[in-house]
Amino acid sequence: MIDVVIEAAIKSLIVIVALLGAFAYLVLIERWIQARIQVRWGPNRVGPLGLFQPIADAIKAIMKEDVIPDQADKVIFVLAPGIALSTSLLAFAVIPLGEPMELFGRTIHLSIANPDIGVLYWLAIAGLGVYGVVLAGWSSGNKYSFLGSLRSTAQLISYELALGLSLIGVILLAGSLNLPQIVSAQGRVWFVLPQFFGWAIFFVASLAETNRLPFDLPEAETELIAGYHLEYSSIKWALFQMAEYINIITINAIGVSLFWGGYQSPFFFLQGSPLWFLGVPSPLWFLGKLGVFIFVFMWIRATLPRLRYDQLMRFGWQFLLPLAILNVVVTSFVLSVM
Amino acid sequence: MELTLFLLFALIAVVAGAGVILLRNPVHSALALIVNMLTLAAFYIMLNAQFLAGIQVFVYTGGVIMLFVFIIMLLQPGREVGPTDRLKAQLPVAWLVGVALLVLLGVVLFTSALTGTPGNLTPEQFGSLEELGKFLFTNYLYPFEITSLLLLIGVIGAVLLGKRKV
Repeated sequence: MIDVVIEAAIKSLIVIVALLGAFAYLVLIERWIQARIQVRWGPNRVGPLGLFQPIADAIKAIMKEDVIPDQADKVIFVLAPGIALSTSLLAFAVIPLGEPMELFGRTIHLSIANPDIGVLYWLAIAGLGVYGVVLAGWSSGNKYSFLGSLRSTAQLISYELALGLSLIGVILLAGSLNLPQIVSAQGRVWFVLPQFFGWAIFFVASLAETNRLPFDLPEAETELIAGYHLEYSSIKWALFQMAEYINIITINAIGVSLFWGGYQSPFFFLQGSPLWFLGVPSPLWFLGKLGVFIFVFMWIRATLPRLRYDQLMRFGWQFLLPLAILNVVVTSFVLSVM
Repeated sequence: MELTLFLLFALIAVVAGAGVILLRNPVHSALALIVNMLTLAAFYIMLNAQFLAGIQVFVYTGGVIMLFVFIIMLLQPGREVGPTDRLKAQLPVAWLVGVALLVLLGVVLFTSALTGTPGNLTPEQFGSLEELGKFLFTNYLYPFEITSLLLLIGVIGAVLLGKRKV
């Protein structure tokens, strides 16, 4: 009993440290990618190639004066970034990074938790993450923050519907909500092939769920100054940024696990041949696919213009949601006929 | 071990429930309600009803209470401080009903009305997603479909009530 707790604690520690480190360098990589697409150099002064930039940013964020506005509801103002970050970190608990491995005589599954309701757990925690946004905007005591947080919350809860429905096709195909089982069921065919529209809906909804361009009106500098994290300074603002980037990592990890085969290799047919090591499922395949999709997120941010708020809501409710429902109906029909 | 966990979650649930009524700021009450709902999800997990726990967090905490919070923030009810009761007899009647409910609860708990073991209508292994799905789509299909129809009526009603007369 206690060894289960210790195993989970060690895995959690490794994952949290990895996620926070990934956040730091992901911000730098995003700035580089945006810069190169805009035909300029990104940050390359601090340290070799600019690699110490995250450290400089972290020191700046910590050293800034921590301002709590006079009209703010102090308890919730301080709690909100905590809620945002903790739900972001919690959501990563169910993602399988690789096949179970043998270590010290125990079989260790490469996910922190393996509940039977894996996908539902992730959806539930993502739903809880919205509270960080809405409470941050309301407790700031600032009309613009409040408006930004309301817009962001409405966007998040609207696109959560399409997000959840797009996953139902995958769950029907895999026959389970358990994430390692879904990844194992993709040994031959990745679910993006039968569920291409499901993946497309999931991808668009995941851009909206993480407040990324083209759905980032709640954070648009030109519209609402900075939206819900306007009044936050210093380390609390950094916590919101951490929550946003870790959400990006997590949602792409879910997309990779459910649609693109997770840790399965695309060269599974090489498993008997001299190039067998290319066909072995491993965490490296997972990380590679994750990297590709995070790059696509950043590429889209640097390229596409922003949707206006009413266009955004109309797209979510009148196009994406009916398409997701149609996907569920067609998938169930085909599965029941075959 | 299970008793300790249960007592811990029960303590948190009771404190959060008291917080819902006693906290002055309505948004703080809503947050206390969120904590209460999360402890309920913990109880469902301890009773081996994992799907129900997931749905509790996803639908209730992440959906219903989110809308409560929205309404509280937009309409800001209860800004005035101080009792403005017009019915003077409300407080004694409330005490009476509260005590009566407590007595009823005690009677149910301490006689053998609740045995704490599965009855003869509950199948084996109940609570897992497969069992729940099988029962929902075979024995309980009519209640399932009628409930979804009820929800649809609610949604249509809300849209109709919210439409502005052009």
